[in-house]
Amino acid sequence: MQVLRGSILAGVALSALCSVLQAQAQSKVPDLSGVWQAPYTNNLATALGHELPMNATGLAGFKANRDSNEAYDPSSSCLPVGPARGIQAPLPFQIVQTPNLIIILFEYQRTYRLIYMDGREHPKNWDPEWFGFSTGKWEDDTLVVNTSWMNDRTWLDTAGHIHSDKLKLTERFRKVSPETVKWTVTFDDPVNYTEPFTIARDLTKQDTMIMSYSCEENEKDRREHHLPEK
Amino acid sequence: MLSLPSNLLLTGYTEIMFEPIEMRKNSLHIAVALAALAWTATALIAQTPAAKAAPGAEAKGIPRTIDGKPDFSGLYNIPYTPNMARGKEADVPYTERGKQAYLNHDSKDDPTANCWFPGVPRIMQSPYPAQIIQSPGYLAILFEYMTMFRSIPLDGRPHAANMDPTFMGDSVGHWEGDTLVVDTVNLKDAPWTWLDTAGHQHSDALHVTERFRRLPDKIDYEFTVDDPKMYSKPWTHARPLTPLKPTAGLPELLEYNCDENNRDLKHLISTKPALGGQSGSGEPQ
Repeated sequence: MQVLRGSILAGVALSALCSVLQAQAQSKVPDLSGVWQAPYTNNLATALGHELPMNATGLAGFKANRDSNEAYDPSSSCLPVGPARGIQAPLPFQIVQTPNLIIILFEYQRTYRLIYMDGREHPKNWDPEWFGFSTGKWEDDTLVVNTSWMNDRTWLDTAGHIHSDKLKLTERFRKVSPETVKWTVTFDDPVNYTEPFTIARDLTKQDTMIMSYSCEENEKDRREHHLPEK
Repeated sequence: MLSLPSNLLLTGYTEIMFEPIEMRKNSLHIAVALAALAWTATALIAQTPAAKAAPGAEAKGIPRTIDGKPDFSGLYNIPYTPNMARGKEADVPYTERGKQAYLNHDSKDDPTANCWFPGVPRIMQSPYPAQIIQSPGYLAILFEYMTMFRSIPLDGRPHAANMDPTFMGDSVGHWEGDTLVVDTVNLKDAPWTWLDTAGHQHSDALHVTERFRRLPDKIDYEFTVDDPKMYSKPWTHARPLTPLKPTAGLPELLEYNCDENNRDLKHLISTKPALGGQSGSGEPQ
């Protein structure tokens, strides 16, 4: 018990010291905390200025999704939309920034993203998840976030562009004014696209708070069998 | 899914539900042993001025944020509490309406079977870990259960005026010394949320007061259910939130998806009309 208490005290002391050191390091990086919103980006091709560089596989998947008239859209079944589409949505999100962890709280689907800032590596072997695995680091004044291990069941956008579980995202968040963060995201999925492509959006600060959102409330589409099984 | 019939949760399934937590406890023990090895080296650090508590602090030996408030940040085990009245059923201060609502509930109507958010206080009773992230103005609690969050402003703001009730209600926090007090109102009632898996019910008058107190090795947590329509006096529960060490090589929180392959949904048919204040309109009966 003595050892236990001692180790807890030591841990607390160490974490207190780390907090101070991190607070000092943290003061040098921009503060992204707050509620932000991107312009609604329902089709990445619009943001890119031309159609995405799809290969034959990507094009076939896109056409099937488009022709389903959104019935196959995972979000129609309240399934998570994945990390980038969460930001592309027409609802605000809140960034909470701490030295070792940055979280994004989405009003859309009332869910969150974790971005580990403590230097950990991406797992070598992992079951893909809806939001994947994200780590971030500061490059000068820019937060660079790398995401891997996303499952292939999300769509990249409401238009129905597909991706594989080989998808890798590189996002860059750069605060260009107190009210604006320049967000770019590079999609790299060699299974469905001939080359990586990058879109840029301005995130604007919102004078509001994250509100309630329930996808499942009064959800008749599934209960009454309106959605096809895919 | 957590949304099994409550009678199952209270019998054989309880063991299964607890298993992951026991595994996490084991990893905590290993971590404590490793930390003990580092004790001699870190004892010196504890003496440095940097590790001293902020001026005016009341509690000793606890981590604090840069604004001097107790820092609740970390990964915690929430004690799974499927039945708030377990072993104390006779003490529950039901009103007649509250008693009838409880006696007549049907476990098939458990709202979380629809993947609806479990509300406050039920979210604080799930058998999955939670991670607290605290910044000077906000306390965010990320729940592995349903991959959902609570976002609690700490800047002393009042409750929002004139809002529709929501699953998770309107939570605001304030400090009473070193104790964080979180006040939650504007919660939906049955059929949307229950107080616990056992089916204790609440009305739209529910007012939940939670008190978080940081101790060196845990959080003292208690909440009070104040719902005069269902209970003749406030009903308080206390339990510790204990720190969890993540399993090596795994992230602190894993993904939880309630909606994935949820085939129950087509088979769930409510057997009774809603007992709460809201009509339950919108849900086919």
